[in-house]
Amino acid sequence: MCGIVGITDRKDAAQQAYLGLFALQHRGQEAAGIVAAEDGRLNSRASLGLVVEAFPQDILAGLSGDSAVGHVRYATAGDSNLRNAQPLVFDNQHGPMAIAHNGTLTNALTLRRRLEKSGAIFQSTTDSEVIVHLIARHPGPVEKAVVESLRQVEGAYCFLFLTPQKLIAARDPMGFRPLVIGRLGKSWVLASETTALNHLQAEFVREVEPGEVVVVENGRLRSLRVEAAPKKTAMCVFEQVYFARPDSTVFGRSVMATRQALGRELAREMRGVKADVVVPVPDSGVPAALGFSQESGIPFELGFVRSHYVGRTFIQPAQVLRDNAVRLKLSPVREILKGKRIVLIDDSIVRGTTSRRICKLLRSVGVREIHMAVSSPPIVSPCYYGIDTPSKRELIAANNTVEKIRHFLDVDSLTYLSIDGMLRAASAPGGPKPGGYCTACFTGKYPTSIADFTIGEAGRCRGPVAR
Amino acid sequence: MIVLLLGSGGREHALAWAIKKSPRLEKLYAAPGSDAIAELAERVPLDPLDGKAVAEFCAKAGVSLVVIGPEAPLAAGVADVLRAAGVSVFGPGKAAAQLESSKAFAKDFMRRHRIPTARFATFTDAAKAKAALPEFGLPVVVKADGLAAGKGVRVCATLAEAQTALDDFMSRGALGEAGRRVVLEEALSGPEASWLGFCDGKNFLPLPPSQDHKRLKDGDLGPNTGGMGVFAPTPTVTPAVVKRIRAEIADQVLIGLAKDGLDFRGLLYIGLMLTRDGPKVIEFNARFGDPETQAVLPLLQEDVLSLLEKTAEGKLKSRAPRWKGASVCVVLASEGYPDKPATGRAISGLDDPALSQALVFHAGTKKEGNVWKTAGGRVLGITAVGETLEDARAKAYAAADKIRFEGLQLRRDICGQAAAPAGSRA
Repeated sequence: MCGIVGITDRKDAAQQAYLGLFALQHRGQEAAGIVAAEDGRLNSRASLGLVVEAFPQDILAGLSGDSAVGHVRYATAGDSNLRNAQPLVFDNQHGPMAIAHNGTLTNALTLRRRLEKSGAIFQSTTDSEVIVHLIARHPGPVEKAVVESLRQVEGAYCFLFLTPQKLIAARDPMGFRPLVIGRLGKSWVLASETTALNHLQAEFVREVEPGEVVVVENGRLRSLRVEAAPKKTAMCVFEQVYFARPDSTVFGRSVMATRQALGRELAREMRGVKADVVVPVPDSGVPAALGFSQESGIPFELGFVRSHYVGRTFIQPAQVLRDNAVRLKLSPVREILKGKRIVLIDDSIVRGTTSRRICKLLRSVGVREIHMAVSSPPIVSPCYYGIDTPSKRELIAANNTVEKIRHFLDVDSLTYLSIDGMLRAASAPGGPKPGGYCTACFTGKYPTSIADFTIGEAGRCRGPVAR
Repeated sequence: MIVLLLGSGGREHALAWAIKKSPRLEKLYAAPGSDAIAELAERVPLDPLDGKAVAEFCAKAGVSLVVIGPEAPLAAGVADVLRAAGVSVFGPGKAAAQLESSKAFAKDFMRRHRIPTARFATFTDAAKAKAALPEFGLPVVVKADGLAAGKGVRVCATLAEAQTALDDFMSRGALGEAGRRVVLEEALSGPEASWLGFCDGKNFLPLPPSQDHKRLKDGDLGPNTGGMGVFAPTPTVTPAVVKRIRAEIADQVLIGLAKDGLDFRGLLYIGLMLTRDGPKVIEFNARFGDPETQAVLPLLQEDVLSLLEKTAEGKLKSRAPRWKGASVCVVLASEGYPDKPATGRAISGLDDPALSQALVFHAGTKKEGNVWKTAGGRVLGITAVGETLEDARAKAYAAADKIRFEGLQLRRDICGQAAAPAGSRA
């Protein structure tokens, strides 16, 4: 997964992009990059690590230009090298160009094989590079080449393209990933989430519509379409459940409102549960636990204190301590938990290993009963649209019954939210509708063809072409 | 004083009722009036759009004040003709009436005088309007510039919908001339409120703030209508909000009118959205709202005729009016309203003793022999006044439920939640 931001018509464009990336850090911590356009050329910098690590002040100050795009990249196993960091910068018949991508192209392998046969040489292992080759093969103007190229790709994407004159943004016709337009004085801002607009003090204008390509040039914003007729949308419900920041409005629905509603739905589905307190797994379980508490009347307690200093830089002293990693990050509050029957709320269970350690921790401070409540349904299928869920083999719910998982976690009861309950919570009058979401990770029903992913190793989450 | 009232709807019935209460009234004429208004005034067979004929009648009958109800005569400049003939008029002239009759004029007025309103742009070229569309937020409001009887406004959630609206208005001529010029506007969200006030161009004397219900069906569903009911005062407009509206909007309007040399002597209707960023103007009307008038006038503890007269003469004072209580007006509409209202249906229950608790204003009725029949889309407005909104609401519905005609439509949720539901509209 990734986060992208673009800004035009600002002398400090790179600094603004940096602020935007900082707001979008949760969407990717592996690498960060910014490209700024200045007098017909592109200045770029990308580095492994967090935004604050990747951009010391002197480096940032050196990225002059009056428009910029930025990208944060999610950690993916095996290919965390700088060559895959974005924005990708290249020269072609349209001049210098930078590209930042959020999502996964589901026919990237097919397209890559075809391009390679006709002589294309690939630099990175990212699927994003495919679009570069396609654009280079289409005649200008560049926005026309972009639209023509996008007509050949399938899957989930939000793209930002930067040239010395133009900033172009695109969202796939099914609208898997979010992308919003903001206004900051005379500048246009494009970002994955509205929280980035808030950080820049930009005003929210609207979403980029599914299938829309917007072109910013000379301070004006134009709109083109990849496909004439709008498709049925497949917006990622996992953005609402876990991925997006709760202070964002995604697909027209406040993420915080969704997460609290998820908790309320869960409380309705668990009516009759006997417990003394509702305890969230911080931080992602907090809004749902609040909603659960409000609906059920069971008091909300912060049963864990979370350390904010266990980051990626923390070096494991020894393998033996790995099991203790959870203890370093989450510390249970004995006085609140001892002897209690608790409803433990988390947003999702992926492999089950972390949840198991958390429950063990709770038992160690004398919790009497643990009723584990998950504010989303069991994850049974990998995502091919940009979320880094592991392969089917590693997904605990893909291979076990709820009762088996309950036994594995060693809890007194385990409840997952129903699919209907989740979709109700993620919908709103005037906002997204339940049928407008992609639920593939919970149902295995993929809204596009995923043929490219089954060519490789069976059950692998990522195709041979990595993000 | 001899007064002539122009118009024939529910609003004019309420005005006639209020004027009739004045001890200073000698005689009330109405043109063209209605069968219901005829019980309060003498009907005169005049075309309200024919200023010359109206002026001649005034001279002949000794009329000293003309009160113009509907927007069409105002937009046509009837007030100017009458003033030129030396008749005192309640209602602005053609130039000032553009605050209502031309959306583009109103928006420019607001921009010039820094009156808070939604971001907007005006277009006469469909291609240019389409090219500018992407820079607007969604939903976006597409408004035909001219008067289009409530059909000239579309709130579009997607670019495609907005493009269709532009095509319909500008290229296909769905609204005729009214749609040749179009205003694109950012959609505001928040509770809505209407603030009506007497305005003589220099002073503004506001009436209690009210809230309209535009949609046909309960829960703000169904098509837009002229209005299915109103309550006043609306609790969303707190004294603090009133202060802001007064300073940021009403006073700025007065300054703007003076700067632009616009003679506005009539009723200024300010349609508001109470957004997160403060009150913003959705629209101005240059006349009494219908059915707001039916709800608001019964609350006034003043001689309405004197207020109309002072406004017409430019001798108003900027002060708070004396009013008390709360009111709810429920509209009873015909089957098929607003598209194809069925008419000619007999109305029963008008003589029920329970109706003494309420005021029955006729909007679209006809009397045939001794039988009242439906003759328009909106048929009756049932207004009740009470100590509180709940009280008024109970009385209004108790009265409304006594009235029957075939195919009767009404909303059950007027003033349903006195805390106004958040709406999203132009």
